[in-house]
Amino acid sequence: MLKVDQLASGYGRIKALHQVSLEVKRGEIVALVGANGAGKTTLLKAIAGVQPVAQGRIFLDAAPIEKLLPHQRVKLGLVLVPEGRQIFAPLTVEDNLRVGAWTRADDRSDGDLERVFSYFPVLKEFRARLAGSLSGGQQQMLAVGRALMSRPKMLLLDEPSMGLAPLVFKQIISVLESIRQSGVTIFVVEQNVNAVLKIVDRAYVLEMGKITLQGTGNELLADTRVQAAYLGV
Amino acid sequence: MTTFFQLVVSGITVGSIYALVAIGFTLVYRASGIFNFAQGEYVMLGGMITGILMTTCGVGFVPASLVAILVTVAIGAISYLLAIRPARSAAQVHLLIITIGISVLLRGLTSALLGKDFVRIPTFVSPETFNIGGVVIQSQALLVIAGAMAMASLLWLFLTRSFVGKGITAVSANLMAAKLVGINPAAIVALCFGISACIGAVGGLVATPITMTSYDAGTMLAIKGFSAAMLGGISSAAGPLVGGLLIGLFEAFGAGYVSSTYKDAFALLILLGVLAFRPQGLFGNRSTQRV
Repeated sequence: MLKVDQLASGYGRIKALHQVSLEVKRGEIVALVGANGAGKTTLLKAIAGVQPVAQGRIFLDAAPIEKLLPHQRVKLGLVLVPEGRQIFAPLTVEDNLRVGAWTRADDRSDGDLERVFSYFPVLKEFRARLAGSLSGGQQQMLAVGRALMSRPKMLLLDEPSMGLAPLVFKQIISVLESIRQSGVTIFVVEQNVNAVLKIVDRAYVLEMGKITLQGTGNELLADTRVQAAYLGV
Repeated sequence: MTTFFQLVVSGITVGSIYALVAIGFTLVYRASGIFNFAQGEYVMLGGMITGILMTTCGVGFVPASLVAILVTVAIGAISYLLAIRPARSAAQVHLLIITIGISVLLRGLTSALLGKDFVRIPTFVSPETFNIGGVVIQSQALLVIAGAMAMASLLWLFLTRSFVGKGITAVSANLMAAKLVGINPAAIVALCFGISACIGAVGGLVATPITMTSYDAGTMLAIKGFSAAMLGGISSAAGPLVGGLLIGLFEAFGAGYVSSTYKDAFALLILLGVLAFRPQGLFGNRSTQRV
């Protein structure tokens, strides 16, 4: 579904990613874990098209997409939920969600709206509020819901747990599993390594801009290097 | 007292035009972060094209004004796509200089193609003037005020009610998130340039019967409109409208009670005062960012 081949990217002269290659197969849920500053956000942004790529290729369904603009990638079904709840503060909750269906010319977003409300009932309750007035956890739900409105084939999530109460995080994790069951492929960056490795099919470990380890969730949970570096064992 | 009300009427009339320029400034600024100093030229083009078509080609007012609006909108959108968009990674001040370049170019092209003479549009309402308790009011002036209010309300409805308008708000609020939901910011910003050109052109063609216009009328309008936008505050919906009317009133009172020699200086004095003491404008909130 998604294939990243020898990808390099950086900020000015600082290289954040060195020849990163990875693959996510259709229907999989795959995690990317690593320390702060390892390049996880840079990688997701590069895949979504909001971070320039210096070298390498990105394929979605075998078609190269590294030259496409971000909105063109969304049209192909590749959607990023960015880090830090980048919602549209001056729009209402409902308008945030409807704008999420921007690329769908048919504009029949009512069904999708109901689906998002069924995942996150609190958004339905606050549908007329300004998004900027929501709490952090609610904004994160809104960001995930907004991404679902475009009916993505492949969902990229950057740190969905950041700053969230454990209960909210559990809710988001269970929604991720429902989304995956509805046929969406998921690639998720997460700092809560223990929780995320339990639910994913496979995971990659990114260190200093390079993939250093990969395996199934259980393999990595059992790996002594992962335990030492990320699980505090 | 008659003088006072006479000045109020003329201040609100000219202020309506400044308000339209200011609205154009804020619309483009909020979508793109660019101050478009070609904003005044849109007003000039609306008046010039309509006037030339009517006086030298004998076209009726309605078709002439439609042509003028369409040409101005096309110029607004194309100048963004050809000259500003390709330089989008440049610093803001460079983009601002590009818009000044576009403004100089439009002025030059207009003087070469349409001439350097003053252009007039015949008044299209009658009676031309009427009198309320000694205050002489031009019917056309009421049309200018009504036109400006109508344009401002239509724009507000479009931005808050329509799906595309919400897309513009999304781009203004969070550019990266807008890209990530599949909005093409270039299309949105080109649309905003087009809308601001349309607003300016309409202002120009309703005002020209009173003010007349010429190829170089846009510069002063841009300065006044910019002052109005800064005075009202660039982040609020009502700001540019109120700012425009206030600048018009200051100018009318200044010219009436102080000296008309310094008419154009009043807007600049206000601009300096605002930048020094209240940079967010009357209605603007200090920019705050959630982290």
